[in-house]
Amino acid sequence: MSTAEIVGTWLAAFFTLAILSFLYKDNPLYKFAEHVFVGVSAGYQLVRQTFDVAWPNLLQPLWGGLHRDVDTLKAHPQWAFYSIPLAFGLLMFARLWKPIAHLSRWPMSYIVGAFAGTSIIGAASADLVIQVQSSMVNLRGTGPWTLIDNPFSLALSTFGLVCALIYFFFSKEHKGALGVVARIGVYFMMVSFGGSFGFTVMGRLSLAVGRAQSLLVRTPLNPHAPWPALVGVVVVTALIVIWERKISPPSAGEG
Amino acid sequence: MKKQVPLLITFLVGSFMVVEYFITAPGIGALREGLYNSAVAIMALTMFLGTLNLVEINIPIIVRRRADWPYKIVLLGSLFATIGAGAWGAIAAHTTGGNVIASEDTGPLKYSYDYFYLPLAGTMFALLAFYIASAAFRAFRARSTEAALLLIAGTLVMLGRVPIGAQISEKLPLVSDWVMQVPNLAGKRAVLIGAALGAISTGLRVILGLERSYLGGD
Amino acid sequence: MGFWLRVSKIDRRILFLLMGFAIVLPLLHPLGLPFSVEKSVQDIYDQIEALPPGARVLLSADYDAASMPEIHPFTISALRHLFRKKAHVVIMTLWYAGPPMVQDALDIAKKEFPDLKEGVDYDYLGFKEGKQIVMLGMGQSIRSLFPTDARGIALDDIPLMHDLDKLEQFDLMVNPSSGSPGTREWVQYAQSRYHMKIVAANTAVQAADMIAYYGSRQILGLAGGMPGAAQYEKLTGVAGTATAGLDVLNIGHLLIIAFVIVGNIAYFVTRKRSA
Repeated sequence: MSTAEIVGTWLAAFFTLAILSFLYKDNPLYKFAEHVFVGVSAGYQLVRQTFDVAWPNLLQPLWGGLHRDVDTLKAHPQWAFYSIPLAFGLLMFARLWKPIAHLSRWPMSYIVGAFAGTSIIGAASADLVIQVQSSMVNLRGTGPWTLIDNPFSLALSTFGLVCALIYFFFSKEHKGALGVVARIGVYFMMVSFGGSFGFTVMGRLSLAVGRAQSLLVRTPLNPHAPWPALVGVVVVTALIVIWERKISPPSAGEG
Repeated sequence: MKKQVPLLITFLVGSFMVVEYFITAPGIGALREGLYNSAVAIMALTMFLGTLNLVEINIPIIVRRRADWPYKIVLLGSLFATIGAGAWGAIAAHTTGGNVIASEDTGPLKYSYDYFYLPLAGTMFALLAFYIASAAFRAFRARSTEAALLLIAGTLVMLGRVPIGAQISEKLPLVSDWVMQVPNLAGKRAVLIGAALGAISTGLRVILGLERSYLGGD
Repeated sequence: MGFWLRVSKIDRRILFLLMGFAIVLPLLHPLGLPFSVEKSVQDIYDQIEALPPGARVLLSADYDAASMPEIHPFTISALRHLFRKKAHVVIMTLWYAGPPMVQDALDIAKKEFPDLKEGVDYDYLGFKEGKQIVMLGMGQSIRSLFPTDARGIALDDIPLMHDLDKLEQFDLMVNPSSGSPGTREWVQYAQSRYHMKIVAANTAVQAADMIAYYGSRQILGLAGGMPGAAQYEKLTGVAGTATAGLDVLNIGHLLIIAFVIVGNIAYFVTRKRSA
């Protein structure tokens, strides 16, 4: 392991504990780590977008085409067409100069239109049609009671689905029979939200477990564990104590 | 003209994306490909604008010594250091005859990911485990039948999903499976169908120019 | 002040501290409780197990460091399983912070297979921005969106990619995913349009929603969160970080349930008294 990597493992432990210090209270160490995070993630995204997308999917074909590069001409015979998305993309920067700022709406409209159009087809074909189709009761299901391919389970689930959809039907007041059905629909949704809550707890805990593993368990990437974490706890605690004393010094009577 | 042209672009691109799904004519493939590639290329450039925006917002805060200005120096410093790490790797690859794209998976950019991004991103989300514990204690009250149902279902799922649940009762994992696969499915399907109808109507409103908020003011 | 009133007003930092202990202690002293494999995870295993040698599989690793503990162990196990089955694996990511995850999973999974050749047995295409547009584009031509792989080599020069250019040519897709773009979009744009067979591993938060797609067989297998990944590790016979983490979840879940119960008792007792 190189010196840079050893320094890196200590830095990683420090940053982890600096973020966790927020659990005590908002403090300068947390703010420092938070701002490093924003800067690094924005920078990382820009680099990735540049070298993984903008270069191979836009700039390289144009550059290679202009320089009559044989490989580029073979891969992108119509390389000149890339000047259209380039021009559109550059129009986005028009918003930096007020007289032509409105031109930045053009590329935005292109992207919004593309996503609006594709989302209509995606939602209609995958979510609406197939989900309704799958809710049709199949009496030939052979699965155990715990799974959906059991006739009773599917019938109960479909009943719950209809009730929940009726709850979302607001054109008529939820009174009488409609009110009862809508209420059953709410119960089904509450059980569903309960399931989501259970899964969410599990997910968030897993992330905390992952961080604890990386701090405390010795791996090739962290061969000195748990020492960086233990030293980090001492350093972070000391820094927070110093900061607290600075913002509210102990009075003369205190020890 | 300031709004008509963008609305026309949205209409043309959006309706093409809908209509092309139903068309199998031979020429349509090339047009599709061109439109998809253009969208990807334009989206790649948006990050440049985003980064410029980040700099534009933070520089005045530093110059005017506004609240938290030292942290903005940290933010911009780490932004430029990461961009520099990426550029360094690319330049080094270019000068040594290596590949620019491949260079980003090793070297200084990889270092900034492993020792800065990874612990920071991971811990940011791990914080939520602690807040969910606090919320479980303070906010999750069985004040009504609905809330009680939510808590019971959540508890059964939490127990059934971990090995200790099966130690308490062999039936717990099965009950947890049933909750997730039957009543949960009903609720999730209702939300999914509702969201699909919402997505379709919003998509149509955008394409037809009835929804224009993305164009901003003026 | 009564006992329950004091309990109901407990400093949240004490709760945080208890949670911290519940996470750290089982990590130092593992319980090692046995666990079974649920059907939705077994389904993923069966789908991969049924692949003939040389089957083409697309693995899109749509997650980043933030959800690494939940998803990453699955990616490693799935790659290991695919390599054992001698499948031809094409790997990609739609998340800008996904590439280091892919590299790490590949480095670990490859160790068992010294003869594995990049570009012949597997190839990593890299990251591409564009969400569903990338999926739709790959349905037309993979080359038009990925002119080169992550090494910068043109797809035409990669033996694995010689006659592979469309999504519908894949026999299976494996999608470790932690949000958008991810499993939902792959179902909406690749499964519904190009009839891809998809199996997915999701974060726990996402898996609760994706059960609807598993119920409708739009995805053929689903591993939810760290338990799902641990079950897949068990199926492939190599215990990793998810299996170790599952131990901690036992105590963590019990503590959260205890918080809910104690919080409710405190609420009802103090409410009754104040009434």
